[in-house]
Amino acid sequence: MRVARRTVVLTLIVSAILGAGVSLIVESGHHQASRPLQLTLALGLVILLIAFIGALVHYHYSLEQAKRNLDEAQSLALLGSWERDIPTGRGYWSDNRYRLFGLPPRSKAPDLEEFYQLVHPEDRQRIKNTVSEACRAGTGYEATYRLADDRQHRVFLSRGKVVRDEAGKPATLVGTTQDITEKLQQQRLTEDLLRNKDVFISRLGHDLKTPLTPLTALLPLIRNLSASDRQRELIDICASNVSHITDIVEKTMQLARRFPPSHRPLVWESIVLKGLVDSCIDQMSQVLASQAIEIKNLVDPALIVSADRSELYEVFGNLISNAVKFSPSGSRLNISAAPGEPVTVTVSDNGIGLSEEECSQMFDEFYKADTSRHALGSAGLGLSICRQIVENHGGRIWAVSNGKGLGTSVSFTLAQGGAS
Amino acid sequence: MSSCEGQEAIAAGAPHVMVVDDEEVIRQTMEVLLGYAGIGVVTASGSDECLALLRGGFRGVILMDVMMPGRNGWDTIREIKQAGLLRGNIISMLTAMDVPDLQMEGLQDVVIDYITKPFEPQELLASVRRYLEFFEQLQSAE
Repeated sequence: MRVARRTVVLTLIVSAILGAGVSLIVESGHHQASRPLQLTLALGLVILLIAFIGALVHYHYSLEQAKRNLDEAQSLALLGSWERDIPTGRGYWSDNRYRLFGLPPRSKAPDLEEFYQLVHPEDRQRIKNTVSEACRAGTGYEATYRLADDRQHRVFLSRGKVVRDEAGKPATLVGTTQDITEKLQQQRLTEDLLRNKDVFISRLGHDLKTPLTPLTALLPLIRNLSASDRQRELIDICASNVSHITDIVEKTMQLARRFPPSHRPLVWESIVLKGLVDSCIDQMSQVLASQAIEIKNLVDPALIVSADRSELYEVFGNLISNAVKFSPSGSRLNISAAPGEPVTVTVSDNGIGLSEEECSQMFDEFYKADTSRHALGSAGLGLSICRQIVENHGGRIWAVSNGKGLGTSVSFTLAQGGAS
Repeated sequence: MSSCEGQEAIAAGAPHVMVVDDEEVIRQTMEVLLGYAGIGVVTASGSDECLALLRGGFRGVILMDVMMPGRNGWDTIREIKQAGLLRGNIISMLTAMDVPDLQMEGLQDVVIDYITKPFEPQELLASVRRYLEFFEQLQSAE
């Protein structure tokens, strides 16, 4: 509509210049005295006219080029655009919308009723209602539909919005239509894969844990029945390996279940951080006591964070047990938190320490700081789980160490919470 | 193996724990583990055997597997409930699944606990003894 108005204006300007030029030349023939001046003026107007026509041609080609580019982009995106005057029902469709619908481009776009006839009968009424409601309320809409007699059974997504006139009345409906068939197929495939992944993990977990049950349950019994120290020693080796496998199985299941983050929504709540750390320390008191590890909870009792409680509990459980594993007996662990947005929580130990490279890799799956040691009881997955949880919360986690033997600090960020 | 606290509380020799599990290795493990702790055990390989034992007069604690072919643990509990065979029996799930199970919807009042496999034997025994004590309390209250 705007382009047509501009063309009229340009034509009027060209006619005015042309008229002025012609009248000057005619006038110059009648008045000999002012002839040179009028001729110069007429020449100037003709040059202006040529320049103007040049600009017009350039404008026309630029417009054509932009139209071709837009058409190319629409074709690549399987997208068509359209516009419809609400009072008259007259409309415009981009070339690619015709192509998407398998129709030859025409100068007059199908009216609303013709368009509805193109829609699959099962979707027709729904689309009619959606469009009418959007026009009535002057809002936008989003709707999917199929076409009648479409052998490819494609699905289209139409998005429209109402543009109001100066008086505020709904005047024009503008929008896009996109072929989303492939996108939907990909989405369904992803959903299927994720569902299958969950079933697979569940079955694998079941099938691995079942044979581990008699080993875990009966090895202590066999140990009690053993007559010699040597036998008990050998059984302890078996038991420790069984516990290692159990740990790997459980942590692998946890990692796999948490992926992708959107698959398992978090339950956000405001948590008094100090209380949560205290209860985690309480639960691990036996392990801490057996290693004679002293742990200090330095978190401010007034500090509140926003997180999923059980997930955060898991992070502290893993960080503490990891610090315990890599700290000599009698070590000290400190848990502190710097307030702010975000809150930065730090678990620091005075254990074996790490190189810079190890600090950057320790959150990777199956990474172990001391590859030569193959320490049992560490699946190398605890910190990967921590990273997954922290990142699912929108935070980040990192480790800092002053070097071998100088302890390690693991920090992570959490969103500050409101009053609990 | 020393006798347990629960042993004195129950009648000697009578089976007081029923293990329902389709895996033979689990049934054997539980028989040995509970047997050494002095706790009487009967086993069932699925829903039908479990219901048959209950109809035969079993009273006590039921450790129920979840994933079983045919009718799973939850289906079996629903059937026990419908058949009026709960009769103060204590049911705890004993399963290799460790995620909240949506199928337990509506059975929270019947199932008192959820033990995951593999378990620490001492923890399992402590739990079973607690269930037995609770069962005894319910019996004496009746």
